Amino acid sequence: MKEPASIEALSLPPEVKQALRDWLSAAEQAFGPDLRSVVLYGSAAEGKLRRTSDVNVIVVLAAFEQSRADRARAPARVAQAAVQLRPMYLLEGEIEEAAQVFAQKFADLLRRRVVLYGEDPFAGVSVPRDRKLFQVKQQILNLTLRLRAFYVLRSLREEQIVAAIADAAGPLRSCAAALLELEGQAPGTPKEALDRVAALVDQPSWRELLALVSTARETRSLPVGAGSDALFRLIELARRMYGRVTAMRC
Amino acid sequence: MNPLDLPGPQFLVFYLVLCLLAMWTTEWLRRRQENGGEAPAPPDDPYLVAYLRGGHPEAARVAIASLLDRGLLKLEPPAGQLGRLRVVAAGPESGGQAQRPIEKEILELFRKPREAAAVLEGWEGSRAGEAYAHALRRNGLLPDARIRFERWQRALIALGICWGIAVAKILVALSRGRRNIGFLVIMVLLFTAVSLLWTTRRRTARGDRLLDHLQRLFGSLKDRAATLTPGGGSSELAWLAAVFGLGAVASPVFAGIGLFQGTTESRRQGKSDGSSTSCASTCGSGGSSCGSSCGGGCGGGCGGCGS
Repeated sequence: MKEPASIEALSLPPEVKQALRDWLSAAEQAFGPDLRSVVLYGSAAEGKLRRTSDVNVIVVLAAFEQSRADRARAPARVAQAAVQLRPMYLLEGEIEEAAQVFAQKFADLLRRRVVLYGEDPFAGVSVPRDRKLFQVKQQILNLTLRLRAFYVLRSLREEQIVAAIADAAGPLRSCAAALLELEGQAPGTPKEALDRVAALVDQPSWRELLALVSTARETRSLPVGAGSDALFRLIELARRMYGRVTAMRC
Repeated sequence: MNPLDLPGPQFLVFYLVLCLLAMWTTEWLRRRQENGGEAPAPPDDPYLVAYLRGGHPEAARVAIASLLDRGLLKLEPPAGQLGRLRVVAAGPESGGQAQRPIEKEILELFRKPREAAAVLEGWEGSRAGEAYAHALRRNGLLPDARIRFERWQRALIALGICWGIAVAKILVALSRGRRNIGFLVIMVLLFTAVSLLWTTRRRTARGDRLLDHLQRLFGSLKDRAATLTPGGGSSELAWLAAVFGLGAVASPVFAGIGLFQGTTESRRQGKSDGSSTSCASTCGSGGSSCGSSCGGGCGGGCGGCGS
């Protein structure tokens, strides 16, 4: 059972800690006894938050009452504007089902989470392997199709490719982590997982490609002329990851 | 030893130290008296922050920008003549969709198409503005009558001392047939100007502290300025403009309708950021051609400033 962590103890930039403290205090007041737990997950929970990263939290509630939710609106918008806080509001009774429906998100959440308030609502939760496998397949295929369409429609405009590469990095990394986990390996961080997966899928000069992905994600810019090749190779990497997942058994 | 007997250069050094000490003491007292109590809680209304930063015109500019972003106001080209784009409420139901009083007031002002800059110049008697001023004074973020009185009291004491000594020295110098009092007069005038400037500062030390806090809290929003999606459904644009000024918003549209004009804070912000305002003013002065030409020409420049 995870005990609530002090926000002060987390490895986060001071403004994120401040925004989290203010928002959490407002959420406690707004939801009152309905508030069961607040869980920080993703890169913020890992202490690897970048200035452009979202701060993901799950708010577990006994009930979602309109009058209480109304009180939570303004502080949530402030925190969203300040540090990109993205709260997901989940009822206690929905946890098991959500873990199945959002298998991949929950697999990531179970790996990287910090309880900020209340008890750990995910202590006994597990994600069924078949659901995880299905969702990883679905997500990689979906990403591949979207990137292909994007390549055809927008890769003539260099500046628009950067955003596509930057936005694809997160899902691709979390798919890589899930893929390694399904294979019974410890995935490490999603970024490390993608490094390892890319090394194994025999993508030519994958180090250079992943360095470009990181650059796009962190600086929202790429060297002139590098974008369209990088995007095309990213599509190929996704296709090979898909091949590797489809070869797995439930 | 009587300092009035000191020779000219030595007296000037003495007088400079005295003036600096007087300024430091009044500033220290001001900060101590205006900055008491717990740290002010960050407000959840971006227009209140804009008011704190630049007064009612700034709050109104941020509200117009936000309403344009939400689609409750829209831009309309000038009818049959060259001129700046005009602003108008998107529909009769727009007022009902706005929640904050300042938004309702602005939507009411723009029921008919009007130039934003012209409306803001002549806009007085805003009830929403009064409410913001009252709330900020109540929380010690803007000076109330008591704070203003205390500021003047301290400034007059400091000025009295410095002027008294300067006048005495000038009389001594004249009585001894010396006429080289120019440097001393310049120092007195400089000290007086700085004192008056400090005495009439818009915000209290507590207000400055809150604004500093908010600028740190929203630092990453400024980094993301160039990637904000118009009409994104969040209040990111309103907060960005409220905390850092419209100069931080990477949109040529606001320059095109003259929203940047007169924003001293935006100008200061722009300068320190590498100058979005130069772009803004170029666009703003472009008259009718601005709306279209800035869309392409200025877009890159403004984007660069915002980021």
